[in-house]
Amino acid sequence: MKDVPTSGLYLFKSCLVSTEYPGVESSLRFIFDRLGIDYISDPRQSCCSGLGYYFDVFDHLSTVAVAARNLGLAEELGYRNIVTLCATCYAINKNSLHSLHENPELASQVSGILDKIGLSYPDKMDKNNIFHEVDILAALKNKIASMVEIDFSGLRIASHHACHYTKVFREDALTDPNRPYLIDSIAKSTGAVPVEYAEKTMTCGAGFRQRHCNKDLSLSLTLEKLRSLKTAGTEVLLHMCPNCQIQFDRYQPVIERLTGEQFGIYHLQIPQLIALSMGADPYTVVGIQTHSVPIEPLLKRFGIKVKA
Amino acid sequence: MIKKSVLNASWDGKFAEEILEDPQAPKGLLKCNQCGTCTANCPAARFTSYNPARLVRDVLAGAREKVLSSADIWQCFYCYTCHANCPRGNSPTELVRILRLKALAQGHAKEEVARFLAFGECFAEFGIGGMPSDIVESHANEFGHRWVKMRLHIDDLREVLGLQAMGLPENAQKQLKSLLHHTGFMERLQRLSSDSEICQSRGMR
Repeated sequence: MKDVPTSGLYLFKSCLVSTEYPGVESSLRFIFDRLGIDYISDPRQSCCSGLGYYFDVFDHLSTVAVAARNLGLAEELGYRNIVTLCATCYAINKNSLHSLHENPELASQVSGILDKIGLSYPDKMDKNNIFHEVDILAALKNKIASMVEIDFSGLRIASHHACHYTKVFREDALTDPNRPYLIDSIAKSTGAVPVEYAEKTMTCGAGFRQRHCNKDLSLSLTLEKLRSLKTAGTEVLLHMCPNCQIQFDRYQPVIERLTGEQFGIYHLQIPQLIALSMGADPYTVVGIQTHSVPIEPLLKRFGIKVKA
Repeated sequence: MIKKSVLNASWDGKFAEEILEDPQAPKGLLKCNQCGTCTANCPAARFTSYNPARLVRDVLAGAREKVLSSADIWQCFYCYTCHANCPRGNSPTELVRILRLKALAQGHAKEEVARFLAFGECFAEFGIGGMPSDIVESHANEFGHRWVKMRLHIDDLREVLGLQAMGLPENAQKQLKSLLHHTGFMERLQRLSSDSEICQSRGMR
């Protein structure tokens, strides 16, 4: 089992969280602030380039160099434990460090490039310095349980464990990609009740280019998952990656229109559920106003004040 | 009737070796014993003609042209389910990534990435990727008014949430762009955009 740090955290901003579900980042910050976790946000950090990498636009060297620049900035600040809010940011940073360590030629090329533009190479970083928010939240779950203000007892939640966390570096994930339970175990600290469903391990359907170039294929997968979630009686699907969250929250209404089937499942990223249970404001912290599936009916049920 | 085998196509006995020269190549490529675990678990194989085990077999058989010109390599989701479960340390999904880049380098399939070049251009300008206007337009149609309004007011929303402005400070942005010049990325964008057609979207409005 890997050591999970709860200080010196470099909160690694995600392009899709920033532009689609910014409430995920503010929820995580809320939780960290409440628990007294030492973290930093760096305006100089660029997006990881992962979407571009998996759109096949970014070459390997460019993506690794982008990662090395960001990781160099983190190292220089002394905040060496990278915490991502997106599974692809996690895999891209980890894979880049892996490449730099395995391939001395690549390392000296990247180090040369950073040198030319006046930046430092992340000498002390290795792939074990890269974490996902779920690693940290899992380590904090007992503390979280003791700070719950809104008890979600009886709420039937299911989890969608992002592929780029469970499957790219299987040995470093805190859960089995074929029987994932990490998000569920964190959510239980709020009283919520995990349910299992048949298609739990299947990818969300985004598939990077597939969402845009093979829409029927992409949505066919999502539909299979939604049907399986509905059969299991899921009320909330919990996510750990904004790309998966888009695929479900934004496309569930689209799929409902296309098929005439109703799913009515709420979608939250795990820090959003935790923040809500710790008393965070739905609009100024959790950012539910950016969601496509309105969260208000769920919150009303648990006595949380919402706008009409 | 005798069926045509894959080897009847022009083949290249050095194809697998050439792939293994790429440091990103999966270490277990040559160890594949066609057990089919990858295909059994592959979401693309469940819904399309893409078959990762057959792809690996074709690569090992040296069917270079068949593989590089195949539409099937563009069906992979990069979900890494094959990668996580291969008992021989192979990774069809990482093989697909190498094959797609090879296909692009040889001038195949430029239309498959054309619409995503805007992501790279936006990244180089702002340090954060963006979607091309045709995708944004299609999202506006699919996701409706609520989403459009949210995206138009994203900066205000972020302020309400107490978050930093998006985009890098000027100096950091300059450094990032310079880095992308040094890695050859800006040149790559040029190369990929020249004489490529707009993606003939399949199943998309």
